[in-house]
Parts: sequence; C-alpha cells; structure tokens
Amino acid sequence: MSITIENLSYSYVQHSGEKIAALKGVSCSIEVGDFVGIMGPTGCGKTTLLQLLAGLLSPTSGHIYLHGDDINAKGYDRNSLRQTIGVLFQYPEYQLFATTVEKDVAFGLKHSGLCRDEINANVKWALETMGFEFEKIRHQSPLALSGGEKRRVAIAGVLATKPKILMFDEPIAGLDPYGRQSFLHFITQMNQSGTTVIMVSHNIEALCEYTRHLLVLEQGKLIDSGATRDVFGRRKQMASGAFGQTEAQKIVTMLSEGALALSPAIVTYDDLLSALKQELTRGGMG
Amino acid sequence: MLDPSGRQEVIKIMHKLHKAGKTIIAITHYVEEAVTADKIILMHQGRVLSCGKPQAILSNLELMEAAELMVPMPVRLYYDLQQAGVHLNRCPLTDEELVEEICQLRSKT
Repeated sequence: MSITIENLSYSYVQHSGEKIAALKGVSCSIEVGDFVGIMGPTGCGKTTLLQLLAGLLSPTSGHIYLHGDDINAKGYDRNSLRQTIGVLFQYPEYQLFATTVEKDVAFGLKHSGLCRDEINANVKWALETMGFEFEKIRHQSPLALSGGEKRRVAIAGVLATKPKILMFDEPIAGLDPYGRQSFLHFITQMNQSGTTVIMVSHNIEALCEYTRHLLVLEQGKLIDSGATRDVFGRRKQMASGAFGQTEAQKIVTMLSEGALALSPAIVTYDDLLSALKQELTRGGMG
Repeated sequence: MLDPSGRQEVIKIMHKLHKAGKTIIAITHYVEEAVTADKIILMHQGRVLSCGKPQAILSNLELMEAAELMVPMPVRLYYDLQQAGVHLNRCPLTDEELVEEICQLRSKT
C-alpha cells in the first residue's frame, strides 16, 4: 500500500478573513513498509499534512492517492480509509473519555463490522502489545492512570483497529527518556512486522536514529526529502542553520573550528564515536 | 510542545530572569537543560536520590540510571572513549566542554 502525494496545497481562512496557506504544492511518495519522519519548525505544516493524509481535511488543491485511488474522489470508501490508517495526534491522553480502559480501546472498532469476540481479541492484543496485563487494566478508569499509562492506552486504541499505516504526531513529546526509548523500539517492531509508519517529530535524534526516509517542511513547502542519512548530510550545508542538525553533527562542526576535521558524513552518535576513537587512539594519531 | 528553537528561547528567558536576581526552580527530564543549573535535585518515584552540583550528578552513570534518565551525550562519549583507551582530562557536560577537552588532548600529543 503506497501513498502518492501530488501537488498538495491547503489553505485556511482566519477569523480576520485572511487566507493562510498551510501547505504549498507538496509532492512526494511513501512506499509500503517504510518508516518515514516528517520534520520542520513549528507552523511549517507537519500536522496539516498528517490531517490531510488521514482524510480529516480536504485539500484546497492537489491529490492524495492511496494504492492508486484518490482518497478525496467522490465515491471513495472512507470507511476503508479509516481501517487502513491509524492516527495518533499530539497528547492523545487528553482524548481518553470512556469509563473503562477496555471500552476506550474498543471504541474505534464499534463500526468495524467485527463480531464481539473479534473485538475483544483485538482489544486484548492491543493492550498487551502496549505492555499492560489485560485482566488488571481492563476495568480501570483511563482517567486514573499515570501520564505514561494514559498515552499507552491511547496508542492501544489506535492499534486495536490493526491499521496498515500508522501515523504519529509528536508521539514522544513529554515522555521521559525511558518512555521515549521504549515507544521508539515498539514502533520499530511494528514497522519491521510490515506496518508503514509516518512520524512527525521535533526530536532530531529520534528521527535520525529510527526513520529510513525523511520529509522536511518549511513554511508549508517540502524543501527536502530522501533517505534519512542523505537528508541530514544535506541539512548541514543548508543556510537555514542549526535546525535539523543532530548533536553529533554540531560537535563535528565545532571540532572543525578547533582544527580537528572529521568526516562530514558523520550523522549519528555511533558515527562520531568511531571517528573519534580512530582519531584519538594511537593508530589515528600516527 | 516546543520545537528546539522554542525551547532555547524559554531557556534564555529563564537565564535572563536568573541574572536579574530571581530564584529559578525548573522541572525537566531533558538533562541538557539541567547542565547550567547551580544545583540539581534528582528525584525518582517520590524520593530524592541525590542533590548537588551538575558535574557530580550528571556524570554519575549509576545515579542517572537509577533515576531512569539518560546522561548528556558528551558524558556518554567520555565513558565510551575511556573504554576504548582514550582518556579525556575531565568529564564534559556540554558540547563546548567536550570540544575543548578533545582539542586539549590533541595538543598534548
């Protein structure tokens, strides 16, 4: 299942009547099974793009094709779109509402056409996948859980529909380092088992370590895209400055000013560590 | 959720207020934000694990692990380089300190 985005634009009208272009002529494609990151500064159109991909907004112009079909064409089966794509928006824990965790996670399956046993099995699987003991958690109120637990319940609600494409908007914002790590490992596993993952994030290190391809947005335009390592390599040369550089890249730049020139291809922590080892051990100094 | 430049802006404002004489108490799990504090109170599950200068706390791997926090990248690099037989003079907390230490080590050889 591939996604093709063709000349996609979206504008909205402010209260003052002013028209704001949130996305301007974005074209790209996302292959089945890929792990794609979307990055860019606040207000660049990342969330708008995700909402358009999920079919929650209709484009002002342009098209989104899912497996060759225009999702905004008349007669397109929106129900199948909902079952194909799972979206988790920012701070999803604030969207929990049901009286029990089990009911909350099952909500998205209400109109799925699945029978009760199948729904129960999906809910159990989703909660267990998110690290809960089903019997312990099912009758608890989602509102009584800790912040991290609430977010895991919200993710389980998306997983329960078993979407082929998972989209996350800032999924690790506000999580502690261990929470971040375990979430990123989890979505990597989902991706390895065949789910296409699209992740919007400000976390440069997470995008660099985990995604395979990147889309870079700035002021509503797609200014770069490609393999993650290549994009980060190019970011370093770009005039837009520090945004979009990994910490390892920043250290390489600072070291080159201090007269130690390391390879410009260094992007990740591991790259930097091995370059420094080589440079600073006896072998490298000779 | 702030983007990296938004975070930097807020941090700058905190430093400005601090310079103007205000006492600042900032709660964070971004360890990089704690580097410039005068004092860190490290907490885990309702208990204070340690209290002291950033250098003593952020460079202590065991302590940081007990608090389920990651050490800053320069600290991680310091220990990984040490394992490879490269000994920096002191454990750096910031990128600037790391670069300084590496340049110093290079100039000695």
